[in-house]
Amino acid sequence: MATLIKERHIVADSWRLLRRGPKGEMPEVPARGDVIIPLALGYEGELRAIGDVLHDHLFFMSQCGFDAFALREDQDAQEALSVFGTFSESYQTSVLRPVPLFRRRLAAGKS
Amino acid sequence: MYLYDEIDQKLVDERVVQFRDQTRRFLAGKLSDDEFRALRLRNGLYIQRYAPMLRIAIPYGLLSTKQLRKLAHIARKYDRGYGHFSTRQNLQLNWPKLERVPDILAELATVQMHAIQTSGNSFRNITTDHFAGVAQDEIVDSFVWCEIIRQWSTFHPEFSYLPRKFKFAVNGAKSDRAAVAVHDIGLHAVRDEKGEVGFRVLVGGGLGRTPAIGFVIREFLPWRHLLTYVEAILRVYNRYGRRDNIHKARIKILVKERGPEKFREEVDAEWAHLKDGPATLVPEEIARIESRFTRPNYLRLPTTDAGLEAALAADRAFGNWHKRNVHPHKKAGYAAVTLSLKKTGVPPGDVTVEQMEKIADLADRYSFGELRVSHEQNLIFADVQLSDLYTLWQEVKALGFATPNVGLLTNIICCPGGDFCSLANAKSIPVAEAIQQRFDDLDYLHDIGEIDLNISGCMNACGHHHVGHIGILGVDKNGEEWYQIEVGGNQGEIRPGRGASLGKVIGPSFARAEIPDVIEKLIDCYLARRDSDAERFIDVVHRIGVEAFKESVYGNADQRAAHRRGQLATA
Repeated sequence: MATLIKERHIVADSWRLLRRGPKGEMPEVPARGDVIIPLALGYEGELRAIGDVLHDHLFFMSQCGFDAFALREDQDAQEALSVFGTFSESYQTSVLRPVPLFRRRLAAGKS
Repeated sequence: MYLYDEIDQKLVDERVVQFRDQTRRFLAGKLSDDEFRALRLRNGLYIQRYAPMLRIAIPYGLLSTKQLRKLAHIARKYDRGYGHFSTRQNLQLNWPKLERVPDILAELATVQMHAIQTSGNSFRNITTDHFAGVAQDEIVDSFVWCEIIRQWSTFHPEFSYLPRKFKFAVNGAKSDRAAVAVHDIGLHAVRDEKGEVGFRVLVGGGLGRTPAIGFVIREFLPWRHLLTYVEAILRVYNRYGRRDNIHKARIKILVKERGPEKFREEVDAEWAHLKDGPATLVPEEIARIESRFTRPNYLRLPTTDAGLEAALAADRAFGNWHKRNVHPHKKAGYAAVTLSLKKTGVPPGDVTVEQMEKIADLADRYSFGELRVSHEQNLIFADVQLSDLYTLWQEVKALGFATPNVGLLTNIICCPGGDFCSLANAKSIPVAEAIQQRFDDLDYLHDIGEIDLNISGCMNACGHHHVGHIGILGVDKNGEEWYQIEVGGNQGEIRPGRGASLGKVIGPSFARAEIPDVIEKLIDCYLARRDSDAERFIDVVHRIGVEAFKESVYGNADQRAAHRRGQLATA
């Protein structure tokens, strides 16, 4: 089982990963494209990245709303914990910073 | 010059730390070649034919002399003493060592520079009119809008892994000097009847192997909505753009496959979630960005200068240069000057470190310590006093940058080609040189008048051959280098009424040695058919079509058939 980083900590994984059956049949999971829908509709549960989840993807993925990362097996989870602070600010709106820098700066200047 | 604030600086410093760590992990064997490739590319680092190539961002082509001196220092210390200004207004170094690149980035960061998103499947350096802020036909200062988009696009978490690269151009004047119709997104500033600033938004243009003219997705987008609307376009592209086939991954293919109307509907549906949201721009932010640009401290000057008039009357060579390389300015008593990097025998866009330093000295003395890189691979001094033009010309001439050919046949746009680039099918620089040698008579060049000749060494079209009035494309035929000729391309509406168009291939390709003859035939054909010298090459192509040009090169249909039979017989 892959190492799981959740809420920026290495944690034990309680999920069971569904895989195709012996004859190649699909497990009952939502289709891939559906991952876009939960956030737009206000989904607040865990959003986990699985697959080729690499050290250098975590910063951007976390900004986009992923909060759990099942790292690819060869990744160093301890080292990966450091990347969430790669950039101390971001200009744009994101899931983690829904208000863009220019509005936050403006609000700070006014208060 | 836009001056970084603390946050701008911190992000660039943090990028250096990030890339240093990525390079360390690669050298330690913790990242595979493929994994590191995706990371280094978004930092402009290619592994080229002979060595790595590092592309350094020059946002919207604007440089201070302090930055230029730093680039010279880097090219001397880490490279072979020269750099190449590219058609994306960037600077490329062809020989840096991979393990030294983090140090180069650290040096760049000390002068507010970087190599962020200069390659890879990312949002690239934004390009604009090289006369931004000084043009007489200005609608807005496009630098301000470019900087707003630069910030928005830098490390955008959603759009850092796009299906393919993404090129963005902004034009802020009436004439389109930014080629907005051949970019993934092009903005052309406009004002509505109330004087409110907005943008005509074009999507899906581009060059490369599938050239396309962008379609107008919105005639007037009020400036407040700029970021939310662009974000909506990028979301549609990021979601539906093809990732299975690199040749079908650009937004132009998506727009074509879905059809512009369907694409517009999808963008509008996405925009409904974003419009009037937190990313909606506010006047305070525009004012803040504007205030971070240093502005030249112009003097109050008369519109003419007696010394200049006298020099023009007395010195014909100066007059020729003034006619081609000096451009009108919105401030009385000032002019913009092009330093031509298109001297015969020198690869277009190449500059040595000694030249960079001398150019920096001149820009300090004559143009408020700033310069611009144009997408035609020349350098611009944007703010020169009329009374200084004659002495500046003498100094620039001594450096070899006074070739009076801006807008003329020998002002060739040319990619590095097979001499340097591992993608190229054919060399391009020797072709440019051979044409420049053939057309070395200045009076004749001026008589031929305005014409764009562009050369690409492969169908990736870095030399913009599709939008040259004459375009030359290097092709590979059984391992040999051949060249296809296109006629009738146009980069954009520089003159009213003649919008962007793509060139058409006129026939079978030629060996390199034949190219100067072919160009001469095309030029002769034009000269014989123009109504007056006010009618440019491109105007004649549009008036009479390409057939006459084709005949001038290949002969008429009967002659072409005979030639073909001859070729087949000897094959």
